[in-house]
Amino acid sequence: MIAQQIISGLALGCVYGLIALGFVLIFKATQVINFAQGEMMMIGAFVAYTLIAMLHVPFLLAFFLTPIICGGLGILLERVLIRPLLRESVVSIIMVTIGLSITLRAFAGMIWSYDTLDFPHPFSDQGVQIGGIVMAPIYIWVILITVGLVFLLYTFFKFTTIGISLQASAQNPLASLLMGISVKRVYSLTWAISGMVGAVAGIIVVPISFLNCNMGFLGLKAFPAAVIGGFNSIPGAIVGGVIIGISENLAGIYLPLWFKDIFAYVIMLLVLMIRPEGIFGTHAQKKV
Amino acid sequence: MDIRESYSRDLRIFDQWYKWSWFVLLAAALLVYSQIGGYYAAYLLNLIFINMIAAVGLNVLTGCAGLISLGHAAFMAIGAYTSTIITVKLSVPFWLALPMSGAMAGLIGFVVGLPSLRLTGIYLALATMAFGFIIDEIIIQWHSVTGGAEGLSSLPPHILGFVFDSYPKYCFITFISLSLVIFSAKNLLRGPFGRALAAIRDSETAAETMGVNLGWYKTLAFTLSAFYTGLAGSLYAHLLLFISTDNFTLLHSISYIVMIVVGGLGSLSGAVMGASFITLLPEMIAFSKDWLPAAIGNAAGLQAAVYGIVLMVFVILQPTGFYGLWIRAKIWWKTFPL
Amino acid sequence: MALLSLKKLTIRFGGVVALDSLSLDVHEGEILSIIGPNGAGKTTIFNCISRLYKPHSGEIIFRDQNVLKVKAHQVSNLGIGRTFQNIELFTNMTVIENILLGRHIFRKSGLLSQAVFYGKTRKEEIENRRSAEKVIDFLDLQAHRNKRIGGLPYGVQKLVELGRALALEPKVLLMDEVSSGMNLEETQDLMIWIKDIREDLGITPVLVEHDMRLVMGVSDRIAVLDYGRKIAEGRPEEIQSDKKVIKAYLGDGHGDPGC
Repeated sequence: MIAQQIISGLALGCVYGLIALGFVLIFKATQVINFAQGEMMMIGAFVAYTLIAMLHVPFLLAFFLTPIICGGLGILLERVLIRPLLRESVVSIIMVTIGLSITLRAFAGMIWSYDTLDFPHPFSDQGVQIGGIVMAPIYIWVILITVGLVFLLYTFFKFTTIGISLQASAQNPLASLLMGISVKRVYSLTWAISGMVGAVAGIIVVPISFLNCNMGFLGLKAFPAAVIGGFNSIPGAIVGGVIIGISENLAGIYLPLWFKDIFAYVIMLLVLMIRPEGIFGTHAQKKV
Repeated sequence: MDIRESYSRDLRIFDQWYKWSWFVLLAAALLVYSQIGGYYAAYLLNLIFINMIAAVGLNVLTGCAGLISLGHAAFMAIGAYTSTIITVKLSVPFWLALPMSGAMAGLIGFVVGLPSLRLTGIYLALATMAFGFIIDEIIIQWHSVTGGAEGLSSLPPHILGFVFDSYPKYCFITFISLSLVIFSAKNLLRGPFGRALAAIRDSETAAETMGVNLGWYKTLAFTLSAFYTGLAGSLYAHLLLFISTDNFTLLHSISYIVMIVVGGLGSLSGAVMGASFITLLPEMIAFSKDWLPAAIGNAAGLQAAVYGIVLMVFVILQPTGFYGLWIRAKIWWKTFPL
Repeated sequence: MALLSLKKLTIRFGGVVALDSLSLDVHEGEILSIIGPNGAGKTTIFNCISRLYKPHSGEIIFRDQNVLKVKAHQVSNLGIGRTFQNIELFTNMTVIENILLGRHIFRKSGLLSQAVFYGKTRKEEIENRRSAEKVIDFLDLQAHRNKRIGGLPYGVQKLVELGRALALEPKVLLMDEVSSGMNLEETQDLMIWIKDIREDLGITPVLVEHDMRLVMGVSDRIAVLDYGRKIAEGRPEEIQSDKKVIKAYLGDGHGDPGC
């Protein structure tokens, strides 16, 4: 029973982690707080729904098409909403992305209705015996896909020219510009990647959770994940997400059930009080 | 002419006597309209006045001190529930319940303000958002006192035997409360307190060097802001006569933020203008439904979509909000070549 | 007895020793300039005095009070004012509002009285404005009084920052590279202002500077820092010919690959 809760918590935690990952990517590269990251996951899920359930595109093809579409959406959003605000205050940027999240949620409701939807997927949710524990393979698939995606991103950042220039732009935009890196293109690319990551999160979360336009609330849990892991740490985002996912489920077992809903936020508050930088984050000090 | 002949003239709210008359006229017109405009108009006016108080409260914290709060609906809720509980269950008279609710919210604001001294920007925003969720949950779980998820019924307020049981009558209460709030807030913000808050917003380092005790002022900003918002919450409870956590969600917190952003961050008149605009927005949307294609007009999420778009448009295109537009209009008027 | 006294002040950042057992005295009424190559630790001294940094060892005594026991926002109460190297003005406020913040430590009215305003607070505000106007007159900032900081030229902003510190009526004024970004005319005006600050306002200025003309023209004493250590101290004429100082700034001329 506990093992099942841990595995399912781990799987959901991977989703939290992926959303947090998309959020941290944008933050690291552009210092922008993207409140709409959860909604970007939601859009990914709805796009997948449209492809699979409405246009009858085979699942595997949809799995690759959806991130591409959402990546394009990310670029569009960056161009229209974020680019004009690049040097504005933190407050302004937070406001814009909050506005974006509300708008996306409302549009999703208008386009796809407010019902809870579903789409067929090849992952079985029938329990299977693995090492003495009975669990559904879907959870394992979610974890594996997350690991694969993180590994892919890691090699991208470490070994490709584009990836390295992304890191450079994040650390020192001016120097990167002088080195011939198009910083603006880097920003677009960061939002594209975040959109793609969000899309993948959206696809894999549907079988283990739900699909409707309130999914963004699930995405809000990415913030505690990012806080725990550290706002500018990419591995931290995944670690934070997993910690949230597992401890939420454990809280559901050992504490009154209603506590489970706010448990993630209680942990986040504790972390903010004790160590705001999170596990892997760094503390920036202002120089006068 | 604009020549200031003495320091006292510099300090005045309106530097010309006649400007006060515009203000008085506007107030009188609103009060008269509240009495003759019909029940729904009176209800809306009450709601506008209440939202103005809440917006002024949030503006002190986020606009002036630069401390982002995404959980302000929680302070509304604390004020509303405190007022309802003590008037219904403890028979406390309304004129006492109102300030007590404000004080309760202020106390919670103080408690929230203390640990948040170390947090800035997004961390503070997230912490206040979490605070909002937690208060929500506490209200739902504390069934015996708050009625839990089913909500709580309230009583129409009565002062010295006179019962304010209709919207037009209630307008007097909300208007007087609003006037007191605006008067005190304006005074606080144009004096050393307001300057200290603005200093903290613009440069904490320099503020400290000038002798501003960061912790003291940030906590005070939270307390004052929560106090005003708690007052608004109490007035809200006695307007609706029934409250539940559905009235105090994250979307509500965000709508207060929209009010002060649209009005102009840091500006008192901006908060007032923004509150009126956002309160009237659903009415404007409903009004314009006839001109919109049916698919959009009848969509349940239309209001939320408009909120979001309005917020984004204002932040990107008109960051100084309505107040900025007002200043521009004044300058245009003064420099008009005629 | 020195007005401000630093004794064996040491502070490290990671592995770098920013100040190495630095001792320095400032006497009342004298103009002391601290000079040295970039990164020598000059601004770090000011930041330690302002309590923005916490030194690892050493003492800072100001008028017989232990500055290190006091919090950052209490330093101005002791009578120490400062300006910042990279201008830390309140950009969303006007010039006069910035200067009025220098009067913050003199406020006496409580919050309730401020909420009512008419009465004690109003009297105080009028007094504050009077004092702020004196500073504005002193620095010739009348033309910019009601302008927002955002739109002002760099040189004017530096003066506003100076004015804000003067409004504190400090005993000692730490001026961090006030002349940087100023042209010849502005620097000459500044030299006169620094002397006026000492003579007319009775404030002891301590300068951190790079402009040698200014330093030589105005200072009574100069202290030279290099790598966190004081390598020379004395009158301007002495410093000008000091071999160690020349070496710190220009190198020792050996092993310089032809230039």
